[in-house]
Formats: sequence, structure tokens, C-alpha cells
Amino acid sequence: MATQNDKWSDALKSVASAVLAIHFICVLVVCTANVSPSQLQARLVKVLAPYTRVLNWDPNFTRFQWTHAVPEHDDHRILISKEDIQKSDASAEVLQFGIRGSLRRARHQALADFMAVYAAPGQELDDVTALIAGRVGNFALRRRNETGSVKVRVDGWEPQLMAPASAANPSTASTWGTIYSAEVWADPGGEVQVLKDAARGEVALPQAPLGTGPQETGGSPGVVTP
Amino acid sequence: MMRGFLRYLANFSQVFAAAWHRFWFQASDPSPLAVLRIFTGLAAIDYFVSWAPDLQYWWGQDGILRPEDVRNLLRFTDEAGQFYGISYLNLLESPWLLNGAHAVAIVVAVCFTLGICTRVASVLLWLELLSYVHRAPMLTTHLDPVLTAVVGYLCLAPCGTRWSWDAWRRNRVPVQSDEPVQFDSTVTTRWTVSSNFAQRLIQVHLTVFYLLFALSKLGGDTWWNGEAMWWLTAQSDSPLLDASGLGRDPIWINVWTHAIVGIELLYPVLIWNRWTRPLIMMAAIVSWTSLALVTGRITFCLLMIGLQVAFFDGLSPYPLDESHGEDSSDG
Repeated sequence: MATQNDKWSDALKSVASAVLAIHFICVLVVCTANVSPSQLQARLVKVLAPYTRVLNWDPNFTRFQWTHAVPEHDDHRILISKEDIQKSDASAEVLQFGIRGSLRRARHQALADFMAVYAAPGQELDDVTALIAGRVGNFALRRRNETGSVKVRVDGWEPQLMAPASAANPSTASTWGTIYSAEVWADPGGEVQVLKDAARGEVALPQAPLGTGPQETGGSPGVVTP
Repeated sequence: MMRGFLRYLANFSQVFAAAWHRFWFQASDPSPLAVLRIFTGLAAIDYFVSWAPDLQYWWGQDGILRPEDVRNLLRFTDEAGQFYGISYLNLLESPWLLNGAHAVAIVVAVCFTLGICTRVASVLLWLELLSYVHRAPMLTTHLDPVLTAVVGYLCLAPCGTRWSWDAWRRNRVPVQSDEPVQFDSTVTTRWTVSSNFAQRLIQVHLTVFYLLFALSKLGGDTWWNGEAMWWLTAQSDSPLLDASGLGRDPIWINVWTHAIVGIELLYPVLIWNRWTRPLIMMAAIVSWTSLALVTGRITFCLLMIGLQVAFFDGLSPYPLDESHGEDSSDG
């Protein structure tokens, strides 16, 4: 059983209508700009950001398409090891907590995905990857009460193409591939240095001494100050 | 010709204003909102509990994402990133304070779910969810934008008027002063404009989400050529169910992929008609169940299934009452 009750004044309805219209225009703009925004959309997203970002109406960090079959949308994981992971995966620890399907696991995947996006060829942002790799490596060393260095690596899953009906299960040919690898050094004073391993064939002779951290493997160094 | 067009515009504005008024500002039963409160509350509890084991790992003094790191990462990657970072969690450096604040967040989510001081709990829960998103936006999952939006709208509604501690307390009727209190089942539920208003907000936002789901998928070839579900099933860590054997028979992968896009495209249209509503709801439930098994995003997919209640008329998804027959569309 129910009773009908309460009424809104005309003035309140007018104000509510105006607010509604503005609100949903903002929501529609930021949602439709989620994938490949035009210049206009990108500009509007920036203009509306004080409202849409602060109240989280803008899902800009969320990949609602799930996949577009590009490497950045595959599964990623972060590995840490005291030894050179390139030589052996046996001693590597996969930085992945929580059971499969849990939000806890999803957050670790989100961090690995975030690193992978900015480590991908053509989109490299060494500042981003070095910062996270430095923190991850430092955390691993502190947890083990160690100083020295640790290897941090981001792997991406490489699924195979769909196979015809007669072929074997194509997923059995899938494998992990390395997207990013770096050596993280933490000294007792708390300074952290990140030395990115360059891909074979991309290594160039340094024009001048690099100055920070050990340089036996080549690559570009970054410094993270805790 | 011009006069006819002006007359059309005048008629259109009258009809539109009447429909707008009917859509947003008539009173409605708050029961669906009470069910939504319970669903979103359970999702919020899972959200906060899942942070608990890793609070120090992520946000501790030696954690992976300190406040200045998040600011730097956003500065490098997001032009409007300066609008993130508004979070009380940034102020909590001590492990005790961080754990204490997190315990409070879990208690607030439980209070919201059980309907204890619902109005206050809903506002606090919304602010807490926003604070967690702002503390590390790069860790957000599919759940965060949907959960914060729905809880934000529920702050406006009397969602604690049914199936809640608040309702139980309000409806207790002392029979005699020396006898234990009894629940009075005849106490009526109050229909309000704010119930309808909040329910409509959730409905419209949900349809915008479905539009976003469909359009973002169609922004890439793989959802057009029917292979997208293969790329999801063939992942290593995400799927809960090994359906990769379907890769040997691409037709089933194609059917699955096209069905998901089709449902998401049709949802914003068919959900508004009371006769097609139960059909599209059932299709959406099947779609979200399959996505939960393949993507491993269980809480998000369950919440999307639970949010179908936003389109219930009272507590029924079906057009049972013939007396409502003339009004086939809500808009």
C-alpha cells in the first residue's frame, strides 16, 4: 500500500530542469569522448573537467570497449626478480595479489596495463614507466630488507589468431612477451635509480657518460627520489 | 509555410514540456531505489574490502603510489589531470590513520547497505568513493565510474524508506509500554517526487553508459568483424572460464560478439518501452553474465545486472496492469 505525497514548486522544477540539462550534456560529452576524441571533444572534455573529473562523471581511465585487439588491451603483469629475468623466469615473482576475478587482482592488472601503455613502442613515456618501476623495485627491496638492485619487468600476453576448425586449440600457442624491463637500484640513503633495458637492436652507443647508476647494460636511466 | 512551422514549434514545446514534467516530476514508489541501495551497497563493501590488504602497498609511506607520484603521473599522461587528487586520503600518512579511515569507509558502506541513517551514510559513501578514485585514478576499474554515479544519485533519494534499519525503526509501533515493540505491516510507503527524480537520473545515466559501451566497441574493427570475444577469451589472467576452445569455430565467437554489441545498441531504445523492457533486460543479464566469465570483472557485471532494477515499475519489470496500457512509453 502506498500514499502519494509531496510536490515540487514550479520554481524548483525549473531550476532542476536546467541543472538536469546541463548535467547530462556534460555526461554525454565526456562519455562519447572516451575513445578517439575529436579535437572539439578533447577541448570540451578539458573545459568540463572541473565538473566531470572532480565528481568522476568522466570514465576516462576505463576501457569500456574491453578490447580492440591491440597489444595495450591484452593482459599484462609486473614481475620482479633479484636475478636477470631475461635469463630465467624461475626466480621471478609476479606482482599480482588477490584471486582471479577479484577487484584486488583487477587493480594490480590496472597498474600493469597503465605501465604497458606508456612502455609501448611509439608511446614511450620513460618518466612514467621509470617512476612506477622505481617504486615497485624499491618496495620489493624494502620488503626483503635488502639494498642493491632488483629487476622489474612488464610482460604482455600475446594471444594467437583464431584458427580454423581443423586446427588445434589456438590458445595453446599464446605466450608472454616482454614490453618493458629495467634494473632498479636503491642505495642506503634512499635514492632510487632506474636503468631501463633497451631492446636488442635499439641500443645506441652513448654520446656522453650517463652519470647516474651502473651502466653495464646500456639504456636510459631515470632517477626517482623518495 | 513559416506560420505552420511556428505553430508546429509551439505545439512541440507544449507536448515536450508536458512529457518532461511527467517524466521527471511525478511521484513514484521508492521500492526500486531501496533494492538499488542494497545492490550498490554490496558492491561498495566489496570495493572497500578489496582495498584493505594492499592499503600500505599502494598508499603507505613506502608504497607504490604516493600522492606526489600520482600528481606526476597525471601531469605526464593527462591534460586535465590536475582536477584529480582531491582526496582526504592524501593527508593520511600514518599507517594507523590510513587503516582507521579505511575501516570507517567500510562501516559507512555497511550502514548504507543496511539502511542505517541512510541519507547521511549515502552522502558519506559518495564522498569516500570519490576520494578513493581521486587518490589513484590510474587504478580505477570498470566498477568505479558506475558505482560513484549510482551512489551519487541515490544521495538525492529516500532510498532508506524500505528494507532498512531506518524503516524498521520508523515502523515499530509500541502496543503497550510494557510489551515488546511490534512491526506494523500496515504502515504505508510514501511516494515522492524525489524518488522518481533519482530513479530517472539513474535510468538516463544507465542508457548513456550503454551508449558508451556500444559506441566505444564500434570504434575498433574487432567488434565489427566479430572477433572481439576471441581476444577476450584468449587472455591469460582475466577469464574465469576457459572458452578458448571456441577459437576453433569462429562462427560461435562471431555470434557472441555481435550479440553483445547488438544488445548494448538496442538497450537504450528498447528499455523505454514497457513491452520490450523485460526482453532487453533478460538479454542484458545474459550478456553481463557471459562478460563476467570472460573478463573476470565479477563485481562490475553483477552490479550491471542489479541495476536493471532501476527500470522496474514498483517491484515488477513486467507490464502487468492493463489500466496502464495507454502509456506505452515513459518518455
